[in-house]
Amino acid sequence: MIVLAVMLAIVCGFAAVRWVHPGVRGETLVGEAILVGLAVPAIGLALAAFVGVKWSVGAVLVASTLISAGVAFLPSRDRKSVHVAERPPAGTSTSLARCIDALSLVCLLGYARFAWFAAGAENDFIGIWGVKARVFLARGGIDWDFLAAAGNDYAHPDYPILLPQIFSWVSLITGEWNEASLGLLYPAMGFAVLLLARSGLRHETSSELLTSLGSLILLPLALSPWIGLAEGPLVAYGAGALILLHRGLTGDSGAMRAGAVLLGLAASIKNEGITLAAAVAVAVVVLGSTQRWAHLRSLWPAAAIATPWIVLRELHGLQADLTEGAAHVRLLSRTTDPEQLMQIVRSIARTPVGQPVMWIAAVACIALFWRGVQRREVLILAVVLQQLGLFLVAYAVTPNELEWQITWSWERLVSQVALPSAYVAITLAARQLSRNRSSVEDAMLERPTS
Amino acid sequence: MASGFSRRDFVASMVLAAMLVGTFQQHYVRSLWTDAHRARGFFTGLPFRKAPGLRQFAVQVEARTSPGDTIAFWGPGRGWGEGYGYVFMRIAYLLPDRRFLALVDRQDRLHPENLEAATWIVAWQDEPTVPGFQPVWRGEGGALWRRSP
Repeated sequence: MIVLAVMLAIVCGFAAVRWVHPGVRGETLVGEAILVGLAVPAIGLALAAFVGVKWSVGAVLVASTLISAGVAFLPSRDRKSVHVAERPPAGTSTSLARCIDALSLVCLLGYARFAWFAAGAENDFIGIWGVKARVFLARGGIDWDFLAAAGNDYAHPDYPILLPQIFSWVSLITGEWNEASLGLLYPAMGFAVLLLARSGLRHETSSELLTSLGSLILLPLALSPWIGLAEGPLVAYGAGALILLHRGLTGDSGAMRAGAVLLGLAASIKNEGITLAAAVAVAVVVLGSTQRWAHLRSLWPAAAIATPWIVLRELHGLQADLTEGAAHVRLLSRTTDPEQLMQIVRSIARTPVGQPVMWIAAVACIALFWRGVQRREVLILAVVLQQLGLFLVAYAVTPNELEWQITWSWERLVSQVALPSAYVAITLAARQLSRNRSSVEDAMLERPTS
Repeated sequence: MASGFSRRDFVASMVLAAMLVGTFQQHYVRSLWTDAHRARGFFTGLPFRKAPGLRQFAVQVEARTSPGDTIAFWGPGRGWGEGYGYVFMRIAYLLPDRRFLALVDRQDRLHPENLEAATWIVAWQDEPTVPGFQPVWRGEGGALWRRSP
């Protein structure tokens, strides 16, 4: 029955991408179709709940069909816009690139196996994402009483609910709550964002070797070790959005819209996705070109997708734990007291960040090749820095014990911005190497230069 | 004629190599040789290791209550972080079609109104005496009370 769920996602995805990104092909098409396809039935469930239809297999299928068909046949003004077709690589594919791709595939398969047997073990899956999905399934819709119940703040009722709804629709289609099956969503999402990254790198470098190498580097960043939590989906949708927006800023309006859709879906995964969307808007306005306002307007799908949940949680009084009580007092106290500031710094310094060598290399790369950076890379880095800054603000505001909060969240939060940061670094390095690509490949393959 | 491999090219290659070393996760490759069913069994039991017997207890509670029943949870410890939260989260996850109500929240605030709203009390590793409720079942690790008519 998992096959049926996969087929539904694929059909929905391909239909929706027809409007989201007209004319797209290849890896970008498949990556976008997977991510959008997983979300469409979930959005269908939300609409079903809104109109009072009890969740069922029929409700999923009907809602998904209506959304996919409706979106697929929306008129698209972008049809006249030139979608920058993926350029065939100017150089020849090398056997080394294919070997690297084979290694990537081995890693992906290994991760898929890991995701299957490790699914359901995380504390936050049981307490937040999984319990919501199960409760919603049991009630046949979004259970606002559960979210608002006194004592259920452990489940973070303010968090957007796209991920529990994805769990719900997959479980409805498969006919059972099966944690192992749900775990397989993670390699699927990781694979999808990797395809988007791969397509982006090929577009930037026109080198199969550098594309494959960059993909291998990015692969572990796309595959979240926290199976069942929201980090993996947030990386997939959020980093996928940034990669597409990076391409969209070159004039590819289809990529711009696709990026905006994924950004809205990222904002529907976790609160950090909402801040990500805001950070993108700020970066576009502050750092954008003379077309900044047009680019800002083109992000409208993100706002359209994210806003309903933000409104509904306000209407139902679902408060974030960070803002409860005297949040402004905590913020003022921690940011003006040097000792408390140092406590935050010390706690962060003591907490593993995950892949420190990657971070050091990425920062060094960006610094060393800054001369080759383009405005759109600066924009992504500005988004990353804003997100990191907002994470620190969250620590300054949290009502929880600081050491505990940082210890159990810092590595996961940083993982949310690792892929886009590495993507920028790889793009800069690959851009440098692409200038002399044939000599590089010759050197690596020990071929005599002409 | 191709231009030479410059110092900047060398640096670019080195940072890419360093990033590759920094991100590579060998345990994903090792997973291919892991006994998946044994590993699945390990990870399935992992979130319940601090409350052995809870899953079996939940099955018994499910058999004696009905979907939609409102159940207050009486658990170990006097605060969320002292064991109460650990067990509450898990029993609410195991029985999602029952409406579990916490008597203490993450900030250790008491919620006596939830006891007023409940028609059942499930107690884990504790023996409450609550007026208005009568015991209906005792099992391994816990018991079930029902509101007196």
